[in-house]
Amino acid sequence: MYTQEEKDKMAMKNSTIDKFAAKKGCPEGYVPDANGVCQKTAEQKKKDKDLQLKTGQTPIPNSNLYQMPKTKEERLKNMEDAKKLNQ
Amino acid sequence: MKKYFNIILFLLFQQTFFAQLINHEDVVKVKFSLNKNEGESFIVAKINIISGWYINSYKLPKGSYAIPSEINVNKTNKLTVKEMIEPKPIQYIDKDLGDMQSHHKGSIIMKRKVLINSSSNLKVTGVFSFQVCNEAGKCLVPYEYPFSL
Repeated sequence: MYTQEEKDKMAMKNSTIDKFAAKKGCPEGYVPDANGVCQKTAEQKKKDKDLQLKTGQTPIPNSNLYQMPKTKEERLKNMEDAKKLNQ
Repeated sequence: MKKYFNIILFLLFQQTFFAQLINHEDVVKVKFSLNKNEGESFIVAKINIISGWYINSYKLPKGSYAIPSEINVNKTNKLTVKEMIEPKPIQYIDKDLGDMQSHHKGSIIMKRKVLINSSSNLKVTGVFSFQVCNEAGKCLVPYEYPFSL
């Protein structure tokens, strides 16, 4: 069990996290998790697949960036992979 | 002392995770306006792209996989939407990808010509859609900026 002082401290800490997340915010398609870290929504994950299918761009982990393919072959492979994921 | 150490650790932790999250608004800024002339009018998008990043042109080379930049206007019987006007894009053949790239950098102006059929209580709404990428081959997800003029 926590003492009232500890509860207050925890509440303050959570409040700080919330304020930080609110101030910094998450880009569209992302929501902050319990730790204030931006995570992709299910809708955004679907958009990722559609983008990969259309352009061959693949999502870069732990970011909201997408990597453009470096070669024609890589683009076709990425598009093929997205097609398989959609099946 | 421990409290301050925890705060510093927390902030460093947050920075690590937020470091790779970029908002479109931090890379591409757009100011919209409506230039009314007799006969024809233009929806003007003054676009400012930060150094090292680019958006694709509206007109793309045949067979391009890029996402075009476009001013899309919501249909209304008060206006007729006409063609897009854009500056001459930067074009080059990417030897590795084997296709022609066509994009815009820096500060540019893109326009959408419209014919106003009725000016009474005219409200022009729509979006500017684009995808922004950087020179390292990293892109943000295709995005739309809404406007209401």
